[in-house]
Amino acid sequence: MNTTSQGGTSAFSRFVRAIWNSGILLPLFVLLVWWWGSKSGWWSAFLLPGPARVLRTFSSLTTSGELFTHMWASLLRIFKGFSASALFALALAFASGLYRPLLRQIAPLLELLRHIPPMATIPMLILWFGIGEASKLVIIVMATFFPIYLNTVQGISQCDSKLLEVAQSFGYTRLQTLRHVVLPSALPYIFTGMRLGLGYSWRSLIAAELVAASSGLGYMILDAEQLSRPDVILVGILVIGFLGSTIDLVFSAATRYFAPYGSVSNGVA
Amino acid sequence: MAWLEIRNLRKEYPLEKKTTIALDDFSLSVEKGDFVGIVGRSGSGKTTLLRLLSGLLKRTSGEIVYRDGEEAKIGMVFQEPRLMPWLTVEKNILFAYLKDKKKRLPHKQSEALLDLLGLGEYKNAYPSQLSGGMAQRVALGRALCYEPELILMDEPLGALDYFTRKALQDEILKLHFLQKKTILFVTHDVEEALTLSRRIVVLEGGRLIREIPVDMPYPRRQSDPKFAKTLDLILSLIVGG
Ligand SMILES: Nc1ncnc2c1ncn2[C@@H]1O[C@H](COP(=O)(O)OP(=O)(O)OP(=O)(O)O)[C@@H](O)[C@H]1O
Ligand SMILES: [Mg+2]
Repeated sequence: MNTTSQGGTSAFSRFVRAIWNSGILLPLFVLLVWWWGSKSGWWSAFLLPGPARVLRTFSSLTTSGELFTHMWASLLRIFKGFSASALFALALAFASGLYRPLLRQIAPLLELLRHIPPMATIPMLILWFGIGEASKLVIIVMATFFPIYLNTVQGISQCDSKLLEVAQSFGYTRLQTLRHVVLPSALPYIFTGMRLGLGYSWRSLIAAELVAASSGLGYMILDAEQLSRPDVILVGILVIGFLGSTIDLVFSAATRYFAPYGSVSNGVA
Repeated sequence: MAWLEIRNLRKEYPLEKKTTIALDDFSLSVEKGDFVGIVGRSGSGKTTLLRLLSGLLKRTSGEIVYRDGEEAKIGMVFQEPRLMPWLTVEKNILFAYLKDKKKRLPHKQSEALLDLLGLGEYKNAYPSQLSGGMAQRVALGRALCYEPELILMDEPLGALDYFTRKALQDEILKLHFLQKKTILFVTHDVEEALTLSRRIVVLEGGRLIREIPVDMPYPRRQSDPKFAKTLDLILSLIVGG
C-alpha cells in the first residue's frame, strides 16, 4: 500500500513533470541562449540579430502587411498546386491501382521522374515559363505528386482481399466495392501521402521562390538578403517553419477525424 | 424437386502440373428450413462447396438449381469475422445495404439484431474494440440483416474458445428457429455438427461419402445415446476412410 513510491504527487511535482513532458524546455533553452548571446555580444548582430530585434521586425512587417502579402502568395500557390496535383495523382493512382496494365506502362517513367528533385528542373522551367506562376505550380505539382500517387497505389493494393470477398458476397458491384471497401481502406494511406506531399511542396516552393519569383516568403528572404536585412530573413525562416508545422498539424487532425481506424506512420515517398 | 438442388457439382483447381479436384460429383437436395452440417477432414472440399454456392467461385461443371428459378439471396459467414475496420458495429451489420445510397437503411432490423445478439451496448464501437466472439456475432448479424434465404457458414466458430462457442451455438439455433433460416454449416467439429444439424453430410476427398439424418430433439444432449452412436459412426467414416 505504498502509493507515494511513484514519486511526489504534490501539485508542484506534477507541474514540474508536466513541463518536462511537454517538450518545451529545449526550445526555451535555445531561445534563452539566443537572447543572452545577442545581448552579451557573443556574435555580431549582423550575423545573427537577437530575438527582440526579430520580434520588432516581425511586428513591423505585420503592420505594414508586407508579411501577409508574401505569406498569402506562397499559401495560394501551395493551395492551387496541391489541389491540382492531388487530383491528378489520385486519379492516376486509382486508374493504375485498378487496371494493372496501366501501372506497368507508367511505372518506369514515374520511377525515373521520382528521383529528380523538383529544384533541379528550375532552369528548364524558367526557360519555358519565366518566373511567373506557372513555374512554381509545376514545382509544387512535382513535389506533391509522388507521395500521393505512391501511397494511394499502396493503399489500394493492400486492401484485404477477404474484405473484397465480403462485398462480393453481398452483391456489391465493382464500383460499389471501390467506393465502400477499397476507398475507405486506402484512405489512411491517401492522407499520409497528402501530408508528406504538403511538406515536400512547402519546402520546394520556398526554394523555388528563392530563385524564380517576385512574391512569396522565399522571395521575401531573397529580397532581404540583397537589402542586407538578416532580421527579415530570420522572420521569413521562422514563419516558414511555423506555417509548415501548422499545415501538418491540421492535416494530422483531419486524418484522425476522417480515418481514425488506420494508422500509417511512415508512408512511401 | 427440392428447394435447392445441387447436382454433380465439380470443381478443379488448376495447379502447375496437375489439377486438384477439390469437389467431385457432389449432389445434395436442400429443403427450406433445413440445417445441414457439413463435416470432413481438412482439404476435403468444404470451403470449396460453400464458395461455389455463394458464387465466389466458378464451378467446373454441375448444376445449382433453385425450385423458384431465381438464384437465392445468400448470406455468407466466414471463418474470420471479416468486419470493415472503418465501420461501427451497427454499420457493419447494415453493410449489405450501404452500397445503395438511395435505399433507407433498415435501422429497425439492425436494432433488433443487435439486441438478439447481445451487442446493444457495442452499437457504436469499432471492430478493433471487440473480442473475437463479439466480432463473430457481428458477422452473424451482418449476414442475417441481409435477410438471406440461405445462410452459408464456414467454420464460423472455429477460432473461438469453448465457452463462447457454446454460447454462439445456442445463438445460431435460436436464429434457425426464430427466423426459420435455411443453413449450411461447415465445421471440423463433429460434436458441433451433431448439436446443430438436422442432418450431416460427410465429405472425403471432395466426394460426399455419407448423408446422415440426425433425429434427436433440440436441445441436443451429449448424454443422449443416439448422440454417441452417431458420433462414432461419423468418426469411423472420416478416420477409417
Ligand atoms: N485457390 C486454390 N487453388 C488451388 N487449390 C485449392 C485452392 N483452394 C483449395 N484448394 C484445394 O482444394 C482442396 C479442397 O480445399 P478446401 O479449402 O475446400 O478444403 P476444406 O475442406 O475447406 O479444408 P479446411 O477444413 O482445411 O478448411 C484442397 O486440396 C486444397 O488444397
Ligand atoms: Mg475450409
